[in-house]
Amino acid sequence: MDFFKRKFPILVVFVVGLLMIIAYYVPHKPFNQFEGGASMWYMIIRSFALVLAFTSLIRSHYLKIREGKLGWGYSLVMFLALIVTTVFGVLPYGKNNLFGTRSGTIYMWIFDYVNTPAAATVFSLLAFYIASAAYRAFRVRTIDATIMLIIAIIVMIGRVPWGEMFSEFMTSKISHHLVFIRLDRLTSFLLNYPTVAARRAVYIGIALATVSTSLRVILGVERTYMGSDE
Amino acid sequence: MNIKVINKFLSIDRRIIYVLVAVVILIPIIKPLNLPVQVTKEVLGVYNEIDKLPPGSKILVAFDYEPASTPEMDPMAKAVIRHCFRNHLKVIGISWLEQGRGNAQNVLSFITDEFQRQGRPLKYGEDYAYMGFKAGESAMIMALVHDFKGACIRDYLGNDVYTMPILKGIGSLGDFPYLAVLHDDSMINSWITYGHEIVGIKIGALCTAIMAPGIYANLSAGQLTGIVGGLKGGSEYEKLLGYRGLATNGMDSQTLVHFLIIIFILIGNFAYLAKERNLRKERLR
Amino acid sequence: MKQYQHLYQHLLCACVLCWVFIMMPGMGGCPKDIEIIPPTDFKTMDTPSDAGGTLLLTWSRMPYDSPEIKYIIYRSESRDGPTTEVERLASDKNFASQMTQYFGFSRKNRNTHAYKVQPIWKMKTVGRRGTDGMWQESQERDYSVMTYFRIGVTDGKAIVMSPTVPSGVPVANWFRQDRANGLIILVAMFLFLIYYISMAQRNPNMFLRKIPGIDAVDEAVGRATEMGKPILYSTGYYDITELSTICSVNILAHVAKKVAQYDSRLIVPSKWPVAMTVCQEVVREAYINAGRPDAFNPNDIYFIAGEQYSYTIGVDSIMVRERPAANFFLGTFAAEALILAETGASTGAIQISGTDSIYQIPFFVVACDYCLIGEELYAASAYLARNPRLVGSLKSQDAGKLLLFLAFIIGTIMVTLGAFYPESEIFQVIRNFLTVR
Repeated sequence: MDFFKRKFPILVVFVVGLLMIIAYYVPHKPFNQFEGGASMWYMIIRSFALVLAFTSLIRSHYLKIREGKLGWGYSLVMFLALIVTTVFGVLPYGKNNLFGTRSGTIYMWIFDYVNTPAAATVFSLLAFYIASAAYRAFRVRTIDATIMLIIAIIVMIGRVPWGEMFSEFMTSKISHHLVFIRLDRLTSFLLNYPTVAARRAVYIGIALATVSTSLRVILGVERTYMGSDE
Repeated sequence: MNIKVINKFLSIDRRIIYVLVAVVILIPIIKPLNLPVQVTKEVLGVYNEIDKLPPGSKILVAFDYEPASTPEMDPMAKAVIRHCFRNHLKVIGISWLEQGRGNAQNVLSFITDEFQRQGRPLKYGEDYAYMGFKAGESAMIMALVHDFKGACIRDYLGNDVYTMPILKGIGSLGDFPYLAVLHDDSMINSWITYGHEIVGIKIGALCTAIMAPGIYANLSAGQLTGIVGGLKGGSEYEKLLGYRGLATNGMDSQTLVHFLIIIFILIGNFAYLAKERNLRKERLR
Repeated sequence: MKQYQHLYQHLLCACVLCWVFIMMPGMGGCPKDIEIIPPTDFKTMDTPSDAGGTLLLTWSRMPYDSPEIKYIIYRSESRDGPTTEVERLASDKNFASQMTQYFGFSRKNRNTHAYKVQPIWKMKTVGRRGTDGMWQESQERDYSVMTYFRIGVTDGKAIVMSPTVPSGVPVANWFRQDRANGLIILVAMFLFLIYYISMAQRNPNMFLRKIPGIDAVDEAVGRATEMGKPILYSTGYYDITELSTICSVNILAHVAKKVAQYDSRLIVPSKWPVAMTVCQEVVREAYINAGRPDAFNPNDIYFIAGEQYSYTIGVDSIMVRERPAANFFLGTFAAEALILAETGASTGAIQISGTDSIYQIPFFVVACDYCLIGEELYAASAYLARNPRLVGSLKSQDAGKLLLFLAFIIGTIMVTLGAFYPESEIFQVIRNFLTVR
């Protein structure tokens, strides 16, 4: 039993990992079909795991309603939304335009008039949150923080029409020599060079860490994800 | 400065900030400012590539953004589709994000209805088509590279792609002269890795403002022809097409909010520096 | 006046005719002095480093190559059989020097045309899974058919055919030569891993620089225990297939063990069913290892929603209702990063975040108390465990970075020297070797 719980998963990870590495370098059949095949396997597993997720969702909200916890009314709304969307989405498309997922059906109506505005509303919270986060965090405590603050202000001004108008005013009305500190051009410079350099450096670090971690997982050095920290 | 005033400025209730942001966003919606927009070379990179395609060319448009990004992405999506149809290009849509399906349908039907009203009806299957959501992510793009029709099999409405007139002459992804990717996540990397690097297709990235700085590296490496980023990019594209749409109107609100945030930052820093000065004075005493 | 009008009209016609006869040959016609002869040295070869679906055609550069002249490629099933036109190519383009991954950097490639062509294939019926996962019988391409090629050249008036009729069958190759550079890096990383693990086992006190975010884990769990409030842990936007989620789950195991020891409560809302299952198992094992199997509550590790913003609002509502004292956001995050972090900040929780998502790092840095940037997230599990094997792997990562720096420096020098000495092949060869495909 210990073999199937501890050693067998490591063996599976090793064999599959090795095959996927080989598939990357060998274009010959059957290796060139591994990646597509692995994606299919994963989608099948995920579909079955969806049953687990569904059960977990139902159970957690049912318990909330049964115990009368704070916000149990929203759990009722969740059940209603789940039933309605499933019924109208899963049943096949017919002449009456009620069921199915094509344009004009109730499912698409829910997508267009409930899901999309709700998701857009949550996404729009970012505008408010960035204002409060920027106010709280952009303080001139250290040199690094000051540089970050100055660059943030340059980019915020340079990316909007007023910034472009201000830059235009500076160069045309005050002096042509000020063209090198035009905020829109400074913004473009900052986005194209320092930002790219910093991001590339972080990408390289992440890429190497990915290789190292992947090797650790494939070789069985890293086993914590199985629940064992040996 | 009085220490109580300083502390008040240092800890402004976030709800006040939210209300002010909301007011500042609403003002230009009620009374538009009509601020001018300058076009950048990044957006021109996408516009020029599409503009120079001869009439009748087929362009692949990937609708890979979620409903949450609709307010930011729809204006630029509509602008680019409008541009294609104005130039008599044929548009083939595809999504490998499931939620992109609804957005694709909405945008395509909006623009085709617009052209219908203008007296130029567009025929599905001949002038435009939508392949629907194709599962598989990177594996799907690989499949498109090798055999476009074999990977799609049927379009969104269930039509056989092998008999569709618009797909005549399309064997693989490389047969398209241009690919416009509308995305709000990192799927552009898969299109670049499997599309541009393997078959050399030219790609234009149309993305949310958050994603844009991250793909400048791809632009400077020549893997993208241009970037249309966020509402600003959408407004620039609208200017190139000669109209003021939602993106351009949205820039008024964005301008005011940017300046409001700068004001808050400056207030916070003035208060912070004043407090530091007071503390130093007290230590010296 | 009228007689002069007739004279004027005749003169005008004569001028126009002269102009036509003089200009016409230059308008889209071929260079006058060069005779159009059949293309020479027309050959086929298998495309290297592919799965066997294409062939390469090569022929010599001809003296009449210009934008007005076009090459026409034909293919047929037999040497004398009917041909199909495949492509018309501009004669001033399509050189072997533009396909360095197949032909290298030899100077003679500039005098050789090259074109990648699809050969004739037959359809055969196979049963397979389609891209929608359903079993179906479909037609598959069978490339084991000999294809014959012909080439002609045209100036727009006549076509001159080459007498050579090469043929070929594409072959699937066993190794992608264009990815050899990646394989060398992989082998080097593997060797570094073995070496540094053995070094770490001999010297368990290897130096690791401090990562403040990870050092704060104990502080965060202790704070939550003192306040009698739960701890919230989010593994991110992606499922267990992403390495960042696996790393997050590894850290979760350590956090869960601490929580079990301190007898606190751990809430793990999940966006994916598979990740949820793995988290449940990991936390259960952690509680068992800590000797507190009875304290494990599977209802605290549950699925919220698969959609991004539904998950975000679900986690936000947990933070607002349960008021956790410590929030952990470790994994890959998308736009929800700031929404989660800012909501957590509004509840007064200590927040430790870590992501490999370049776009969200700035938001986490601004809104959280501690932030693990990029590779620090991947190093965290090794840092926490202090296991010699894991510490050794961190060292191998640094060694790999040094190797890449060396490659950058060499590549930059090669590119620079290549610009000064364009005729020299060695710089181009090394540069090409360092290019990733």
